[in-house]
This record gives sequence, structure tokens and C-alpha cells, in this order.
Amino acid sequence: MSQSTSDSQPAAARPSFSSGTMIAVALWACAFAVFIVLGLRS
Amino acid sequence: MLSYLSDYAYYFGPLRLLHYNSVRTIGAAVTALIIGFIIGPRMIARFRELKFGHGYIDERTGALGATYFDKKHTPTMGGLIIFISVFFSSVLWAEPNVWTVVALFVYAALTVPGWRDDYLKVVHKNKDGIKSWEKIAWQTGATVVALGILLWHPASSHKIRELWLPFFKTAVIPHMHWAVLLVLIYLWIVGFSNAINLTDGLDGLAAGCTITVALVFGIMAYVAGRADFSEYLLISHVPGAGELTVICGALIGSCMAFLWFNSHPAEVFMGDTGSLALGGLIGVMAFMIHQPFTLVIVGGVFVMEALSVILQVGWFKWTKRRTGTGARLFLMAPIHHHFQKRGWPETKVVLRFWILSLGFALAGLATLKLR
Repeated sequence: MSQSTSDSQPAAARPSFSSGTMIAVALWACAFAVFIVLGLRS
Repeated sequence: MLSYLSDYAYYFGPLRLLHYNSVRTIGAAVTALIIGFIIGPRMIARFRELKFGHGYIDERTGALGATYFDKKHTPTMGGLIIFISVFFSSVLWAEPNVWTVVALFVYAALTVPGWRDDYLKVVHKNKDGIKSWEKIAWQTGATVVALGILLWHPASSHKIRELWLPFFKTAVIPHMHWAVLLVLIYLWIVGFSNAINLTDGLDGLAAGCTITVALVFGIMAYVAGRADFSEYLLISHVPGAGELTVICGALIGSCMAFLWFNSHPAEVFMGDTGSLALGGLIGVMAFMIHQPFTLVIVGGVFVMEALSVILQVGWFKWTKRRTGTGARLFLMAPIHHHFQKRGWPETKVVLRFWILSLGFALAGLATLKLR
């Protein structure tokens, strides 16, 4: 599918993640891992 | 996981309420709604800061002119707002079992290619996004792993092989071959992923229609999980599938919050991050509660959008081969653009499609009684 640009936009910045975000993601991943283990054990 | 607290109702009576998936469904919906409202503005601000807008006008829709001009800089990847709300609420309120694990796994697995597609488009300015083979690989991998778990786990290994059709009182095929099941589930996941992706072309359209589908499937999952209700209604009883009602509740709450920001004029789009994953989630849930063909009715707007594209392309190619000049069935596909080209304002198209979605939802619910 071809697309056209009528004017240019500055390139998006690559996102950097704060340490708080990384900790939250890690905690969520642990919670999900526990959820999976409990779910597949039942 | 809060359902485990109901074991301690002896110490604190109200904890017994957490035993009931109806209570936890409402909890999940409210939690997802609140999370969406809290993280939505923050994420939208961050996306704007990072300039996550597409930065281009789609050549197909450029003719629709001014309504699209200011969408170039609307940030995408809003599907992450829905993902975070649904996941957090579901892990908190749903009881872990094979059905909820597989549903959340498929949802997470399909969020990745969607996110990658959006990331390539907005950060790397790659207008084609993710390669087709990579998208197919993710969808195939998610389907294979999901089906593998369902066929392996004793709670689901027999049930998942049953094929039920609307209006029939018993399973049409009591024991499908795993290869047939794999093909069907793959078609449903990929089909509805792409259908919702195509539907996500106007502000609020995909999210609004997803709410009605989630509402109906929440009811159907609840009924399928109850031995007494399913026996009365002559539908398949799937022990444990009632927990999918909680995920549907979370989906409703998160889509409501997302719609708050996605309604016209949209502050954020869900992008492929949202649409691919949502399609996969509802597709796999439909199979797990033995209502795959009911999804074709309930998700009628999504089916309509996908069919309009298939028919448009097919007709164009066929007439070009026959006459040398391609003809169009619709002014533009997907079909929501057709009505825009007919002069309907965007908000009118969206509202009318929501009405259609509600109509399809009611028709789908009617199949519970018409057996």
C-alpha cells in the first residue's frame, strides 16, 4: 500500500524507559509468570 | 488471583464475595477503567513527546481531505493503554486456569508484532512496518503454543476438540483432529486480528465495537461456565471458562477508558498494537467457550469490514482480467470509508456502526435461546 507525505515530520525519538517503568514491567512479568504456573497447575 | 482470598472468608466474611466470578468481573471492569484513566493521559503525553504520530496521510484516504489532515500527528500505539489495563486487571481478578492463561498468552503474544509494526512505522519511519512473514510467524507461533497448551492440559484437552455451531443442541463434531483444530483456530485468530485492524480506521470505531463483542462474550463465557445455565440453554458446558468473563470485563473497562481518549477528535490511536492483539484475544476466547461461529454474528461489523476489502479487491481484479479495466463495488474499502465518501460525517459513520454492532450483538445473544 503506497502512501504519500504532504509535509515532513521530525523523526520520532527512540523511547527511553525510566527505572520505575522497568521495575514495573519486571514485577508485572513475575506476576504473570506466577499466574501461568498457578493456572497450568490447576 | 484475588479469588484465592475467598478461602479466608472465615476470618473476614466479605472475602467470600471474591469466590464469585460475577463480582470479580465487575471488579476487573472498574479496575481496568481506573487504570486506563490514570495511565491514558500520561502515556498520550509521552507518545506526543516522542512524536509517535505516523506523519503521513494514507494515499487511499487522502481524498477524504481535511478530516484526515490533523490525524498525521495523532500518536499511535494507544493499544498499550488497553493492554496494560486488561493485563493488570485480569491477573488481579481472574482465577488462574488453563483458559485464562491461554487467553492472556495469546493477547500478549499478538501485542508484540502489533507493537513492533507501530514502532517501525513511527520511530524508524518505515511505512511498510513489520514484514509479512514476521507477522505470520508471530501469529502462527502464538496459535501453535496456545493450542499445544490446550491439547496438553487435562482440563481442556477433550473440551477444546469439540466443535459447536449456533442453533445446534449438541457438538457437531465431538472430537476434531488436532490439525483441523489448528487450522480453524489459526483462521479465527488471524482473521479477526486483521478484521479489527481494518475496522480501526475511524475514531472510536474499533474500540466501540469491541465493547459490544466483549459484553456478549462475557455473558456467553459466564453461561458456558455454569453447568445449570448451560444445561438449561442447551449449550456447551466448559468448566472453568466462566473465568473468561473476568477478562471480558477487564476488556470492557479498558476499552471504555481508551474510548474516552479515542473518541473524535482522537487524542490517540490504538494502532496495530491494539487491533492485532484484540482480534486474537476475542478469536481464541470464542473457541474456548465453543462459540466460534457465533463470533461471526456478534462481530458482524468486523466481518463486514473485512469482507468489504476482500470483495473490493476480488471484484477489481476479476473485472480487470475480464474487461481490462478494474471496477469497484464500493467507493472505497473498508466499508466505513465508502460511507464517508457518500458524505456521511465521520462521527455519523462511527455511531451508526456502533448501532449495527449492538444489533449484531443482540442477534448473537438470541442464538443462546434459538436451539
